[in-house]
Amino acid sequence: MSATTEHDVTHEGGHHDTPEQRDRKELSALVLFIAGDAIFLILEILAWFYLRALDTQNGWRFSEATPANPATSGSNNPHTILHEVAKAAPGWTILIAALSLIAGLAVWWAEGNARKGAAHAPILGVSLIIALAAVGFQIYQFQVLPFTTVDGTYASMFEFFMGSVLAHLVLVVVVLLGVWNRARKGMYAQVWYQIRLARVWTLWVAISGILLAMTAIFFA
Amino acid sequence: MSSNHNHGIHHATYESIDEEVAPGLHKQLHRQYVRGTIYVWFLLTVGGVLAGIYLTPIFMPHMNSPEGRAAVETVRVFTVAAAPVAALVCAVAIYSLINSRHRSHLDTPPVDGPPLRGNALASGAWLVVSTLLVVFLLTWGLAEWSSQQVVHADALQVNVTGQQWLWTYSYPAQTVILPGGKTLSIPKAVDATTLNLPIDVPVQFNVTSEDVTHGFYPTQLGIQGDANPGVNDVLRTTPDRLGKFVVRCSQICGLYHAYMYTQAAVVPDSTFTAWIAQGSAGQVLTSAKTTRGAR
Amino acid sequence: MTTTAEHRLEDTVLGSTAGRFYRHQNFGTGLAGGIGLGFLLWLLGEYTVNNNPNFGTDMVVALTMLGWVIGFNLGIGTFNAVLHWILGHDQTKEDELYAAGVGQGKSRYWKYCTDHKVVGTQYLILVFVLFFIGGTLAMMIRTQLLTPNSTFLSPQTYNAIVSIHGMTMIIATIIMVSGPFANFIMPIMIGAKDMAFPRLNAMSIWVVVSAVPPLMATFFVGGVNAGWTTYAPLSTQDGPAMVCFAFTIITFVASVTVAGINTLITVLTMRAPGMTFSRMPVFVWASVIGGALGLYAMPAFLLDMTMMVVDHTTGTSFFVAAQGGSGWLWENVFWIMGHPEVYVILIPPVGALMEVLSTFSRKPVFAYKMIIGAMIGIAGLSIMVWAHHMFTTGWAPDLAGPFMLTTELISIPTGIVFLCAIGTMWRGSNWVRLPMYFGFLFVWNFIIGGVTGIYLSDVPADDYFHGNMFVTAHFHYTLLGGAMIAGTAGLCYWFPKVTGRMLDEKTGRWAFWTIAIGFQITYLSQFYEGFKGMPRRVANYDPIFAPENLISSIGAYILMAGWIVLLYAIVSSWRSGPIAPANPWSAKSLEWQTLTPVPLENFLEDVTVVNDPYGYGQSAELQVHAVFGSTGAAHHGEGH
Repeated sequence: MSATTEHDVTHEGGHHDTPEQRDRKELSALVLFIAGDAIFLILEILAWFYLRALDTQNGWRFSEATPANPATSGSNNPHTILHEVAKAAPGWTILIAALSLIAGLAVWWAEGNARKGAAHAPILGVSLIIALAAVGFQIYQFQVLPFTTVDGTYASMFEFFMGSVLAHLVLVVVVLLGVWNRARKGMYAQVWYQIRLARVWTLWVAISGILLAMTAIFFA
Repeated sequence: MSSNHNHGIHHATYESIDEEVAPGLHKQLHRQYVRGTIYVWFLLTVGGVLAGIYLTPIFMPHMNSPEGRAAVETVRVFTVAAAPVAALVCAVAIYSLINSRHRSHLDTPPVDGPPLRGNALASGAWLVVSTLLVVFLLTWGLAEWSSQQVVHADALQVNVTGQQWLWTYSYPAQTVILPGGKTLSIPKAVDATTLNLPIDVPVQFNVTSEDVTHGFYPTQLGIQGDANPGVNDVLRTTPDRLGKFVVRCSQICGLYHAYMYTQAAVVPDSTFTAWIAQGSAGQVLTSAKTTRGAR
Repeated sequence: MTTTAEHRLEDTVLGSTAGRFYRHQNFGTGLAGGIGLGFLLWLLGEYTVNNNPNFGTDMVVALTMLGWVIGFNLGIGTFNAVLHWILGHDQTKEDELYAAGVGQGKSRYWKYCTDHKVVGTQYLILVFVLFFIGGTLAMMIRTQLLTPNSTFLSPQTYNAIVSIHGMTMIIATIIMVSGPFANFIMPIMIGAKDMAFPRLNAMSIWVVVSAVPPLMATFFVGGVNAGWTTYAPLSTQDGPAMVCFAFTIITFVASVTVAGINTLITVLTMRAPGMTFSRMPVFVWASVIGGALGLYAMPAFLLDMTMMVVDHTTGTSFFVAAQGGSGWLWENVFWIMGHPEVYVILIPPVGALMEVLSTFSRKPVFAYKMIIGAMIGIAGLSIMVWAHHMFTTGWAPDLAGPFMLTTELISIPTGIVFLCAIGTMWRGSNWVRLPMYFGFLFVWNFIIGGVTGIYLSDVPADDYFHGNMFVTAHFHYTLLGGAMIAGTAGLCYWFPKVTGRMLDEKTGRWAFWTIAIGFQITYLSQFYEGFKGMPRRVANYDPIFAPENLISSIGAYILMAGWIVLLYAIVSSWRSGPIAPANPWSAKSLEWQTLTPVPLENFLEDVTVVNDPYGYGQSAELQVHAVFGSTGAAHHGEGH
């Protein structure tokens, strides 16, 4: 039974694991969590393709409009016009995906530094700022879309993807906030495995965001 | 030391199956155990098989189409096929129960049983038999299912529309060429809230919904399909028995889901034609026999 | 580590509580937080989004539910660990001990407590509460169905009750064994001191507690009209009630995900030395397999429900045909969750059942490797069968054959479960105590439930039986008659270890027979209703179904009486039953080799496992499952 040392960064339940034991448990837990998240991602993407293939009543890219208010839909009025919903511009999507990737790579760089004993807290701070910027841009993208949620299923799935990316980026911000703050306080001087956990999570969010982005851009 | 070991003490109140003590007694009790289980197994199997063969048509309603009768036959065959397996499981459980009646209320556990960790023969036989059974049941089901996929070139089209909370049937204007060369003619489209079908005429139901998902369930025709908004679900059958049946809703659709049932009937061709002729005048056909169910 | 001669961890006297606000957090502060934040967000909603003509009401309800869930968990301290971690404050030893319930007596059961035994007990109480609610709703359903044209309940109320009865029971059965026993018993069974993530463990129970009020709230905002499966597009008509329902599920999914991860990591990394995978009790395998399957299935539930909330609050059209959506999307995603989920419900109780059968037949589990393989096979196949719930939906007629194949294949590993059950009973020195009674009842009920499932897997037969009472009877036989009865066997088995008292078996036997007979009457009648073609989820029915419905309702009253008698036996034994010895069943697995009540860190000495726990009837060395302490002294399966 190892005694408490300054190397222990977490204690749980009154019994002490060595850092190696905590690392193994926490990484395994993160992997399982990502596995569940991957199922969610796969189903999300399948939902995109399923609705696109079904194209029920031409509703994938076409939305009902009335002459009075082009943006509303849902009316069974046989006199409504079907108008094709504009595709979202890929620019913001690519930007947000790129920023998440850069944030993940920055954390990786910080991890390397921590392993060597070099400065890592400022790099983590930068990655936090990049992640925050990604969150900000994702929120902003909702404003600049050429369609709204009521404009059929392409629009619905697109905005759902955006919401999913946003939720995951918020979790990245929370994790990076914690890791940066703890790094700043010098808590990772000896035992830095939690930076690796942050790296794995951020890169996963980046990869899933890229997959969603590719689905949305190439299969509109 | 534990009381789990039977060091030469032979308890007369319950069977000792400790091999070290009395091997002869052990073998004899083993045979007795096997025999008893087989007796119970045999009785239960016979009961299950007889129940499958004779009770099934009593429990299931009289069906008006081949698909309906196929469902009944499936229940019968599957019950008979499952009976030996179910009976074996129950027989072992029952025989274990019978054997244990002396020990039920003891405060301390009885001596250990024989350490049977597995038996390759039993496990292998079980696996083989259960796989063969599954293959048989699957073949039965797939054969029946694929025979139901046959599409008749000429079928009576009936458009079924479900909405909250009633079924509407519309017979579009059509001429159906029947096997044998005769024709069945519907000169003008007819709407009805009750379903009548001519006997021995292939029918194709085109089922859709105005609002939410309903379940088109003409019970004694042995077919069923959801009425989904925005899509058309096709069901086919050829009713071949005269008689009344019921159309119900099998997918919960809101407040009055329970009341979405109507009487329907398979009628002779002449009756059907006469009924259709009434509706050609533009009125929606209902029948004096139609009930919407109690409210 | 400490021994009996030295100071016990749970006797530590903790320092002053000055400045430690979280030592005052409990269920009461949780309620205050939930109601408070819920109210605040409701106000916010009323003054901002409520005027939106289409979505205003639903958005306000969504905000309120969000406020409740977050506020409750803030109030009880679920998020304290995360917040402390972010702030860079780690727990002191005193904090850890306080979090584990030291020095708080009975009040620790009302708090966020990291001791897995406390969490297990909290789950057990929650399970009782949920079954009580679900059972009451069931009795209302059966009372309504006593006569064909009953006006006891309006159709609106009836549909709402049917929906919430279903969802309450689903939640209850998912957690009924994995909550109390995978938390309390399983870590002890593997020789661990706690679970891998004690704080996540405490989080999982309080999160699932916070999921229950939104479910009950549905009754007050219009009711859920669409069954527990809440098929779209019908569920889009339900407005605020559906938003509450979705929040229940989203919250519940978070809890199950965390709990599943915890179970898996605990078993993977915290087994005692010498406990190889082939020496693990079947129940541990079952907890792992059930947990892993839940991890696969729950994201689908989350997807459906978040899409539903988004449909309600922002007008997206995933499920509305007029704007391109499809009910088939809902149904596919739902059953991708729904079918594995019934095995999440079934597999842990089957594991518990095997422990009971082994202990009370005084024999090893028959064909250990095959039962493990069978559970894995069931879990794996269950991922590929979902569309057998959709044979009649018209979504993909060509896929009927493949799904019929995969569904029928599941009967092979399920059959192996029966092989191992009867193989364990075979020539056993059967000791028919109360847990074993429920074991036998499981075998009977699950045979009927399993075989009737095979009928349903046949497409032409399903064309008759889908959506009718045959289906209802089938799943009640498997989930209630099978899984819940096996879970009850587990409860009676582990009762002495969890509560420290012996369960009153005389009363228990009365309860057992009442339950067993009442159950058959209730659900055999429902099979008959299904044979005759009665649809399910109907508030009133065609009078031709009257006799069997009357009989079924009478059976239900008998069944309910049986459960109430059992509940009475449980409660009175828990309060004042005879004190239990540490190993009343002379069982071999590790939970029985430690004291009752179980010490804070489960064992007083180090554990080394030497054999599997099924050495009944074998030589002296093979009888011993584990040795204790550094001297390697053997403890045998006696009471202390």
